[in-house]
Amino acid sequence: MSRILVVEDNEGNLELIRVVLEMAGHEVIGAPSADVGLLAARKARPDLILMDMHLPGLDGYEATRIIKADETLKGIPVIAVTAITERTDEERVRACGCEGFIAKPVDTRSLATQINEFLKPGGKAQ
Amino acid sequence: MEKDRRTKKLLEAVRLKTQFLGNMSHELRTPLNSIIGFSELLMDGLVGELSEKQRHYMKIIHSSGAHLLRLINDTLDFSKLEAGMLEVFNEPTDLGEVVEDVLRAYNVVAERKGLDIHVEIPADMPPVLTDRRKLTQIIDNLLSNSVKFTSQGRVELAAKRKEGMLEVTVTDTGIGIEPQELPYIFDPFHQVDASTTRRYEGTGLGLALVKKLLEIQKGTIEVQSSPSQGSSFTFRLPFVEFKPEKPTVATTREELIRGLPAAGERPILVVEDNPLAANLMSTWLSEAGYNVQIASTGEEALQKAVNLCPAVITLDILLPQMDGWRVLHRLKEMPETKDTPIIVVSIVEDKSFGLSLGAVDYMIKPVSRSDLISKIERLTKSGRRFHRVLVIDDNPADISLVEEILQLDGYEVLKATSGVDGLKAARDEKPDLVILDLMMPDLDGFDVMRLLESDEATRGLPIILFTAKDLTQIELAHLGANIHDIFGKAQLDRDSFRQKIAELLTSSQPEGSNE
Repeated sequence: MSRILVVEDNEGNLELIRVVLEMAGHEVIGAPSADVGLLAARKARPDLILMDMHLPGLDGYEATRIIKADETLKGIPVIAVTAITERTDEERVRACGCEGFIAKPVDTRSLATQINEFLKPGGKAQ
Repeated sequence: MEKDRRTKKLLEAVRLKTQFLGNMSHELRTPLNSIIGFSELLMDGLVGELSEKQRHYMKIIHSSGAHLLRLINDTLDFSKLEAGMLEVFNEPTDLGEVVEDVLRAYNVVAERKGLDIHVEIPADMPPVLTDRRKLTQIIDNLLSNSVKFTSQGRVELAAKRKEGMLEVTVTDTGIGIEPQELPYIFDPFHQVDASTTRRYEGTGLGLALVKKLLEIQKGTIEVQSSPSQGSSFTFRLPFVEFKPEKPTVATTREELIRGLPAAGERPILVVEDNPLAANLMSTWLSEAGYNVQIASTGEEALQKAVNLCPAVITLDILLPQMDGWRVLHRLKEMPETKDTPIIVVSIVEDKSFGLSLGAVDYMIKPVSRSDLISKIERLTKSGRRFHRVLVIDDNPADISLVEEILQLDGYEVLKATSGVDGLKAARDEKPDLVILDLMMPDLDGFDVMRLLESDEATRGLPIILFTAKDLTQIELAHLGANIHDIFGKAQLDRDSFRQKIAELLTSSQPEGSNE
């Protein structure tokens, strides 16, 4: 079981990810904005962060950059949850420091497996 | 003047329209995410069993959501294409893999319908340099049509290389198209008739999109069809074969110091049977300035070790026929190779055995680039005798320009096309000087400067700005102590650029030269 911080401003989508991950046995902490997400990351020390990239105010790209510039947080893998329609989208996600991405809309049938790939020691995020 | 202004206004309008569509499609996708996701959960019975009827309705919600999503994606792509804003990104692409990925989505439907799906791609077809995403989209659209409009018989995809083009034909035994309809099938929102729209739901954009995607890549598409016999779509794209790049840095360096006997100039022999892994290591090493040779079997390794007199050998253990342990043992026996340092690079975790057989080091896969380079560097000692200059610029043309100038003076050039890559390279590669662009997407030059200064590993690294931006007084005042000079991109004075670099570098010894 891992502790996963989900930063997502849409209530329905947050609930959806929460349900799927909890069914897979993870502990989920939800944050409706990047500010709250950063606070939660510092307090709760999650094993992984799922980051929606389009957020009101501070967006997911900026939030990830802040996490990756913070000595105490940068070790936590950040996985972008975003619609990747073009190669440049993927590059933007990588450029801000995310270890990977999960395509939106999330596939509830494979979400847990995708997350586990990133949680594995020596897995995709390392 | 008036015309210029109008063009500018028009371009701005197009940009705004695309931006609007981009934001809009995000707003549309967000609620869809919940619709598709929750209906999936319910349908799969993960939150309690549903009755037959409930399941059926849930399926309708789910497939309608998926359909709406496809419409949004197609519309966005289509409008980007219309506005000329869809970029082509070529990369080595394996056609077989693309087809396999696409088919995964249709196998279930095809099986249910009893369709026979047949794929024919020559086994020796090399990877083609093309836009993988777009190729996937094209093939996905064609196959999805074929599967959709064929109720019995077969769907076939055949590919070949012909007259410099990649030619792919998708043939089906489906409902076919009436001759009078053929000229219009690539028009947006044209579906053969309204009743087909209802019977075979589609966005009406698929084929129009396919045609446009091909056109922007100098490709073509044609169709042959007869009603109730089936259809055959053939598209062609320029076939640019992917050839792994030669280690360019190594050749120039070789020319520069010809005649200098240095261990660093002898090749690195990479013994690795997995072509992907070999390619990766080879790329890393040649980027770091080494001449790389590859051996894919034990026998080849022994032969090359004797003939090429490599400076270092990296050795995989799990090799076909003669395994790495035996290769290591033989290398340490032969007089020509017994003194050559060998690093075992393997997933087999048996360091002590490797060292007892005479390996100098042992790395467990997957290895990181920086680990590998630093280990090789330590072993080649005098390998780095040139100053290394890191160029960070998002414009490849500007990088090439700077590289050309730097190579005149024999510097080794490290390249990074984004601020993040630049920071990483500065940390991992320890260059002697950084040439930095200011205006870059995401992390810009100012951020890079700040982050270089805040990181102990890169603090104090001299920086020359190379920028098209006119700095304001405020910006100038905020530049750190490491900024030694600023050169404008517009009118670059090559001589003073070279002189400045030489000044900065002659005062310091290249890293690692006196290890």
